Amino acid sequence: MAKRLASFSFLVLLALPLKVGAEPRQVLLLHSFDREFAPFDAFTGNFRTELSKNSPVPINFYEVSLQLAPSAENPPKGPVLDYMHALLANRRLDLVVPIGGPAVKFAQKNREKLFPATPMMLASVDQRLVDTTALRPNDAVVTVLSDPLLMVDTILQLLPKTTNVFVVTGSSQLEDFWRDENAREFQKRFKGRLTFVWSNELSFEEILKRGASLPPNSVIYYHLLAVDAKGVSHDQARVLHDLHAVANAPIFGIQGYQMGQGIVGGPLLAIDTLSRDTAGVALRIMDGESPEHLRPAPQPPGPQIFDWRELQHWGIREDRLPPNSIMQFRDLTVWERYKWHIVSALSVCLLEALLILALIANLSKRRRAERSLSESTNRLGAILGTAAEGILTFNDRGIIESVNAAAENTFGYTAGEMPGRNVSMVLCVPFDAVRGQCFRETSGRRKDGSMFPIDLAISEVDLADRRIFTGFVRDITERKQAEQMQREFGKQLLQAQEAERSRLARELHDDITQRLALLAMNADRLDSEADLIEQRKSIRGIRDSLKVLSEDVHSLAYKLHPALLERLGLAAALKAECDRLSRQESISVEGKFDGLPADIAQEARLCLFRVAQEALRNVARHAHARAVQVSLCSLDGGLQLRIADNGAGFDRGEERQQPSLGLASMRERVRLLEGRLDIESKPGHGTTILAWIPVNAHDPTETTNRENDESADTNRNHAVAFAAKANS
Amino acid sequence: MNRVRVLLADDHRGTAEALKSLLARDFELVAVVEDGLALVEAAKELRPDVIVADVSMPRLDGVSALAMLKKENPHVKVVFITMFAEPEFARCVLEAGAHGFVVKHSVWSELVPAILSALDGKTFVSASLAGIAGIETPRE
Repeated sequence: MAKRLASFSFLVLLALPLKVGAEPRQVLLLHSFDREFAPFDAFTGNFRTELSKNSPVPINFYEVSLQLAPSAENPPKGPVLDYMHALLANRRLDLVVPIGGPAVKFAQKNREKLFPATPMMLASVDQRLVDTTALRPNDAVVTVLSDPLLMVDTILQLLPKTTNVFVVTGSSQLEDFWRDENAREFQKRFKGRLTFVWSNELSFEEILKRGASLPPNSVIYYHLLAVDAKGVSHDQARVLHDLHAVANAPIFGIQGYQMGQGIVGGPLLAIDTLSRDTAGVALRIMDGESPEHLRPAPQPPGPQIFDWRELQHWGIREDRLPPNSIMQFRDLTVWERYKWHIVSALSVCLLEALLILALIANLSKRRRAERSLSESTNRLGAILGTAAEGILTFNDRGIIESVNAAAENTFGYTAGEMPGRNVSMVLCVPFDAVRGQCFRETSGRRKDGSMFPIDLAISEVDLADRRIFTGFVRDITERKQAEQMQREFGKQLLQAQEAERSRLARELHDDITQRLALLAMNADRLDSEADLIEQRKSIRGIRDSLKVLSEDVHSLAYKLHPALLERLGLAAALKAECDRLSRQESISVEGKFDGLPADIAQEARLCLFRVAQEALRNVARHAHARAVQVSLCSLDGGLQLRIADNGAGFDRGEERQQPSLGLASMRERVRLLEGRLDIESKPGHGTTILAWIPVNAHDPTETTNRENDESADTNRNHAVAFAAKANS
Repeated sequence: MNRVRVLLADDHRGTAEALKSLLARDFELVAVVEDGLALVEAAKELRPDVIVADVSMPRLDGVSALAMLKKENPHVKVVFITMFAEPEFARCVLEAGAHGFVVKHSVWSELVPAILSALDGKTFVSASLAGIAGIETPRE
């Protein structure tokens, strides 16, 4: 029957001669089953690739698939051996590689007949399946050592409640070997603990059925299903796939290539490592090494590897896994899968949130600042708008930047006309003069061109990047007019007083003193005519009294109004005053009155005379001076009078607090003529009085003038200066 | 011998009357006038040897009249009588060409010597002012 038949196929695969120029090596691969049979297909593929890649010369692979029947005690020798003899007759093989337990067994058995001198390498076979007694010096061995006990131990570690193990295996000779092998070991180790059920007598359909209806606490131990009880060969991948689809218990396999096909995992045999190591040994044989020295220790199962999906599916806790286990197919959580995306996205969001917060904070701060600025601006605007003073700001080139309503009114402009124009348009001072801090009286110019007096205060303001100037402007036209009126009124008062004094003085002089003089004359005449000495004495007494009385009245009249001033002019009158002081007080008086203009206005003349009179009176009364200098000269379009004594002096501070009537009157007289009066004095260091007044020469009352013969420009303003000082 | 001819100018009637009696004793009083202009005219007409004039007079004061009198008759002697007992004034008047400066309350005793002094070509200043203004007073 087919079951009993050993069938074989012979395949020759000629690898492309990749390495040109060298004699290709001839390698015969002996497959146990169909060459697509797992796990040997994976092993063979890797092995071929590794060998071709690393060989210095091209390799021709010949492959023979024995396709051994499961229960064939011995393969049908006749046809196979004949065929192989025919095949190998004219070929020189470099290496024979039997793959898997059945092929190894076949090769060892038929070595002498088929390839007695050819090096052979037993590959992809469990150590247990090698007949070590039959090994020859020309044989290399690369084996694995599966560990079913370790696998079951692992199962128990993961699922401690396990009681039943359904072992999936077939009925071929190889599978039988393993069933016996495993059963013996399992019995020895797990007797009483686990119940093992073997599937070797079941068809694949029955196996699936059984696998779908296992009792609780069962596991499936998938070993190998090459040929089922019905003698049907099976593709390993397909078996596992179908079984996994229906199984109601976790499936454990032993081969590394099964990971991902439905097994839970555990200590698996690593095909990749094995095929690479095997190719390495093959190369060394072809390089001429002795095969009997190339028998490395069997490869044990690799590290514990688990399929995370299966663990999840069967509810196996990860903490039960052996240490250093490798987890595969972990279904990454959203977090794990998109960790960096999430981190990046969150970072971006956070950053944006921070930015937004910062912007909001900034915005709110800015709004507050703007509100505050707006309030401040409004408040300032209100203040500026209602300020009585004109206020304007301009830059360092004089360009007006802003003005308030009062400034526009003051200069007669409408709103918005002034900014952008030069400040010299309204201020009649050179721009250089208004740069910097100042306060002055000056003139402003209205839009209609008219000029008017102003008080101007300029201050500098340093802004962040430039400098501006603020100007405060006040129209002082009315104040000036009031001052003028006051001055006029003062002048008129003084003139009235002077006129009255003058009238009185004339009255006294022309009438009273004349009559006294007449009386004195008559007394003299009586004296000359009298006979008696007694009479003459009396008459002389009367006459002398009359003389004294007459002189006193004259003196009084002179004080009231100095007739000399009009008769002889200012210089003579001042000289007379100097002489009088010198005569009466025994003070050395030095007068200098040279170089004066011809015509000095009467009011200026009188003013300076009165200042001198008062100053000299003070010298006589208070100064205790020994010497006085009086001088009068032209200066700065006016006249300056200087009176300096060397007397006691006085404290200016006290004088300012309690001004004497004399000094106050001097000051007032000078001020009314728009002049200046300066007093310098210190206790013990004398006194100097400087009086300067501008003088208008056109005075119709000035008819006689003998001060000097110099002709003066009558169109010029004249000034009189008068100073009294005491030298120290 | 010809008596010295004197012209008197004073606007003060009382003084003028008193002086008339004083002058009439020693001199020929050719006329008495009461203002400056009348003085100038009278001097021009009468050509006196000596003019006794008040400084303060209506229309033209004595000092102003002096220049005109001198211009008309450079040899005329002018003696001023005045209420201004000011040395500075006296100096100015003498510098202007007058020969005498007599304050009125001493006129009774000093006028005749002043006229005589003037006739001698000398100047005379009242004793009360002499020395004050640096003016020499001739001794009697």
